[in-house]
Amino acid sequence: MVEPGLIKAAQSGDRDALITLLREIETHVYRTAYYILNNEQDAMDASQEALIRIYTKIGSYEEKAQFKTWIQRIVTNICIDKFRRNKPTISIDEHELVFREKQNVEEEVLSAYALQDIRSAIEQLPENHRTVVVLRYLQDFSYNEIAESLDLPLNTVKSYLFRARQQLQSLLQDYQKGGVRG
Amino acid sequence: MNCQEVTELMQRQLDDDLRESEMEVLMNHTRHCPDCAAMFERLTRLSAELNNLPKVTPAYSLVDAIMPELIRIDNETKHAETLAVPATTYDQGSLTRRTQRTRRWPSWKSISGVVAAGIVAGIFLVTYPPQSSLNDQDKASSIGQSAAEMEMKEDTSVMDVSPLSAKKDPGGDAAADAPTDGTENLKGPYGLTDKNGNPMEPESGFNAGGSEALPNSAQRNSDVTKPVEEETSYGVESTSKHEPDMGITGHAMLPSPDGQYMANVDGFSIVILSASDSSTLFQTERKNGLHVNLVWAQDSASLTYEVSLDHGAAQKYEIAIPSFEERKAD
Repeated sequence: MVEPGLIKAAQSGDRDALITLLREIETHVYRTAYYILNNEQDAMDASQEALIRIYTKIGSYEEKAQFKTWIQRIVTNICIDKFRRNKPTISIDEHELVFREKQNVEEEVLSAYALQDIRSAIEQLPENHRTVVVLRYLQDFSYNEIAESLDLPLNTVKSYLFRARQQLQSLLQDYQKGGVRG
Repeated sequence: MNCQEVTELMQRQLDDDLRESEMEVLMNHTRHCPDCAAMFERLTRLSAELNNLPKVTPAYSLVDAIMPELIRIDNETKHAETLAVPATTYDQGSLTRRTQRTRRWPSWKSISGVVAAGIVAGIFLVTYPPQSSLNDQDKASSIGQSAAEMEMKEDTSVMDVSPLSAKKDPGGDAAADAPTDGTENLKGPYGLTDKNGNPMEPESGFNAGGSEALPNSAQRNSDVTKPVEEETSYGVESTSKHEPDMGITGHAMLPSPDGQYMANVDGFSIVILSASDSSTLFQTERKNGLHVNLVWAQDSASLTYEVSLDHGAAQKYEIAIPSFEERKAD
């Protein structure tokens, strides 16, 4: 993860250090956005917005929080805002998505299904559950780190994560039984 | 302990959060309760699959993409510091507030800015007669401009990596000499055609890498076309029989630098063949997505490739040679 010296330099106004720092974290930022929003274009937009916010707010980072959780707090907040704003049009998006996936399935008859199943199952989760899952599995965060990123009590983090996994396994079980996909 | 309580233990076990005694309770219970055993197995499998989600990376550098915006922000901040001339007092308040919020510098900084600007303005007033107030503004904005120009210079050094990657193109000649037309070239690497028989590029997002997109795809084409010529000399026909009936024509072979191996995209997996007798040494598991960007390490100790996923993201993989152990590369 990011070196403390680099963060210090960036905070003291060293612009090159700040740009280097942004380059180091851009993939982590993107990964979270990609799995929360489940859409490449939205993820690109959200992570660019997050990086700009980190650029302008680097001075407000305080060492009592871990840098990686500070970053994830910024990107998850942006994603959740975006997610809520996008909601009214989601029925149309979903329609297109399903259509596109179907085409892929027809063309790649022999391809593996597991990844698509798990992705569409994640998409069914409520946003706060999904965010917890993303931080746990894509950022490899502990309960505490997730709590710090999302500003949630530890027990809430656990209950979101446990419920999310419960829901995911039951959705995947349905898919396997040949239930309706997506 | 009832099943409900055991479920919580299962969940915590997935996060390595169990003490040894709790682990024992869980194991004892699942041994006697088939329902919980099945649930535990499903949860464990789910957790493994979640751990294995592709470590996606952005299709192009996000920092490069926001660079113009960052320069604009910098200029705005500098503007607020250097351009605190009387003419702009109407929005000076908001500008200094913004500076404070973004940089958290103590307010003496902005005060000193105002003082400095006052002195500058004073000198102008003394040096030039009063009607030169227009010049005053010109001068001030030209300071801002030259600052912007400096930023731009700095920036280009960061951004102009793309021409380099074009020069790297190792098989440029091969691409031109290859007896195939453009369509064939494209078919080779991606191996797919759409319903109209046109070559199917990976999702546009995937190589919409702005400045990098062109050199990149040129390189990819030539990388793959070059070995097409060599294919005959190695006499590898065996690959075609692996190919499913999906319009896949990708028998482009990529030789390793030490000449021992040949790599090849075969539908949804990568095949590594022995260069001497064309026997298949290793084949990757099927992966859902177009397999592109095969690259041998200089020392032939590994082969990397990318699988482009839907929504345009890509996952990189690395195969170690000669153990043929595959792992995801971040």
